[in-house]
Amino acid sequence: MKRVSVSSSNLSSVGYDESDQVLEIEFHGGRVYQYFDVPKRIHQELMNATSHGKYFHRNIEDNYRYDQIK
Amino acid sequence: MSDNTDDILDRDPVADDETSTDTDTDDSTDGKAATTDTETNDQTAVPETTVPNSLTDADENELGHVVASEEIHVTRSDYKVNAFVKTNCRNNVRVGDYVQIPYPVSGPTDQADELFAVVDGLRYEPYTELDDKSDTHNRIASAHTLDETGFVLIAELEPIAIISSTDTGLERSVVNKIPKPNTPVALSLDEEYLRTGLNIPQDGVFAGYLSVGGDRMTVDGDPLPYFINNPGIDPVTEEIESGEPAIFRHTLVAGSTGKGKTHFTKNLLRQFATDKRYPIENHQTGDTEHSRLNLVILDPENEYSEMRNDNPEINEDDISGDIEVGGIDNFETFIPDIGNTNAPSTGESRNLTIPFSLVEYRPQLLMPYKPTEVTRGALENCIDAYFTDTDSPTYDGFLQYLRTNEDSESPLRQRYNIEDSTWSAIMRRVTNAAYRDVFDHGTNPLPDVSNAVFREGQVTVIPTSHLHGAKEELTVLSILSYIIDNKIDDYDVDPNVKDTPLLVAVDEAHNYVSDPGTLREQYIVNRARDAVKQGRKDKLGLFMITQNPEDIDGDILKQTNTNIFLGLREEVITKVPSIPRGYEQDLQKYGKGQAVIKAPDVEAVEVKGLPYCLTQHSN
Repeated sequence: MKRVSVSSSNLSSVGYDESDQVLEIEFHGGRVYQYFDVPKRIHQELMNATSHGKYFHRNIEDNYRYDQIK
Repeated sequence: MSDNTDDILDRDPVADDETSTDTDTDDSTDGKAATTDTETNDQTAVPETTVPNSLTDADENELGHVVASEEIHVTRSDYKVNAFVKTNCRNNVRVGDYVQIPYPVSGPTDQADELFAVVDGLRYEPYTELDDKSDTHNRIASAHTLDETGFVLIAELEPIAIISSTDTGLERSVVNKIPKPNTPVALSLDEEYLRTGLNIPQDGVFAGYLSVGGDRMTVDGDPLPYFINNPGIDPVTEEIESGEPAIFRHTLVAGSTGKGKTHFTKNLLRQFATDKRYPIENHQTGDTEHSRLNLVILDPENEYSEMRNDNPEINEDDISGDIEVGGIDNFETFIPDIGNTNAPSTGESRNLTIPFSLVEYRPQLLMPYKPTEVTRGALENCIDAYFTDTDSPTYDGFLQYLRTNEDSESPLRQRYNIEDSTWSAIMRRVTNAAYRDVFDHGTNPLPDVSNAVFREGQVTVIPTSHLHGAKEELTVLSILSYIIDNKIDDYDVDPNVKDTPLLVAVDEAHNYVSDPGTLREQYIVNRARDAVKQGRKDKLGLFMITQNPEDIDGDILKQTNTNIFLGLREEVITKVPSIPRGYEQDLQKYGKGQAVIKAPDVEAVEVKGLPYCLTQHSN
């Protein structure tokens, strides 16, 4: 999945598969997680958030199923 | 006690310098005697340098002198400087007039600094101790015509700045020196002095003429235009002019009904419809582009579409070259296409559709109330699920989608665990006639025609006079949120909005950016707060027009740097902290077109707008 670099102290890059609603996040340090059934709106809000890290913690981290892929 | 002038001067220690010199010359050729006299004079002379009057045409403009018989003080937080007004000047001085008071100079060729001040008050004081609180005085007074010979007129001054003459012209600085007693006080009637003292730019956006008491000030017979500083790209050198454009620091025009608010606003907005360019960063390439402004006017009374036309009652050749005049050529009117309404008459126009797709990233548009957290979460889940499920979202399609999932065992309700009571609340909230009328009418969805709506160099008017209540609110807030979201966000945004300098004028602004009462209003106000903070960076200016400035969100008002107040009612004035100090009383009595303007870094001043409209204006 293609990811876009983001300016964040926590997140390194973010990707999104619209058809499968999969959000992929690379954290600083190299770990990559996939979050499932994430609506397009949440991805949009994450990308436009003033603080990507805060938005992730408040709205994504504990709200969606996930797998660590790297 | 003698009233003879010579007797008075003989007792005057200051005057001794001159009179004794004459006496020395006349009465003595003895050097010793002269020395003794000088020593005597030194003991009584005031140890101050003389105060030359360096004012241009000082005799003509001089109205009096700094009163020495009352305390004079200038501190960081307070001041007291009063001026005696000469008898023959009493009728020439008004509260609001500007004056100059020279400071001493150190050498004969030096140019004096001058205190620049405004007349803050005027009062009569009795010459004598005569008590007029008596029946006798009453009988005497009633038997005579008005007689002010027994009184002196005192002008109370508010220091504004010190003006210094330098090699490069006049400069202003803070008031940190006290004017000398008895210094001449003159009306300031020099354009450069007035502009320097008030820090009014020499050019920019024309807003009206400097005035006092509703009358235009004149210098050599010409009125003084008031400009709002609005630098952009120099059209000749292509260089970025220094300073921040006022338009992206936001503007408020407030005035009660009948005070000429729309007339004043139209003339001001007309000044923005020019070829002036502003630097703006292309969000995709990162390059700085030079683009003209797109002025977008949300027009609830259908008053601005006629700005495309000339005012047939004025001769444009008679208007000063500093003022933009005439109908605007690059002009588009987009009428929201809303069900069960009659479109207003605006001349040439296109229709605009509010698509339901706007709800995908703004579920709050369907929340003109305060839902519980559970209902809100469930509704957001339903909206997210619907937009994931369809490629052609519509409001009707959304309702149909919900109905197919009405059963508690449906995949949607099972997935999000939506209970019956929550489901009922959702269905009740989303089934609303206003939604059906607003969403998806017509064939010009906003995102599809955004390249025509948001276009550099264009004035875009969106009248909503055919809309009322819920339909109007949903329509305006949908358009506003589309503009703001795409302007201040960075990811997946509409380039027509993002990469165009925008000035968004909102008439009746108190209806849309007031203290929020619902989730939808909260969303818009929050975004508007972010937008006004980022306006300079994103090249988005908010221009609010209202008769109820007290209702506008406080955080937004704090970020509004250019404030224009026409006449307002007392109960409004007391609730608006940004009204400049000292104008609270005057504003209640202001006539049509009379305003006080507080622009960034410029002293608050009274301005009179033009008596005619620079474009067509029917009302």
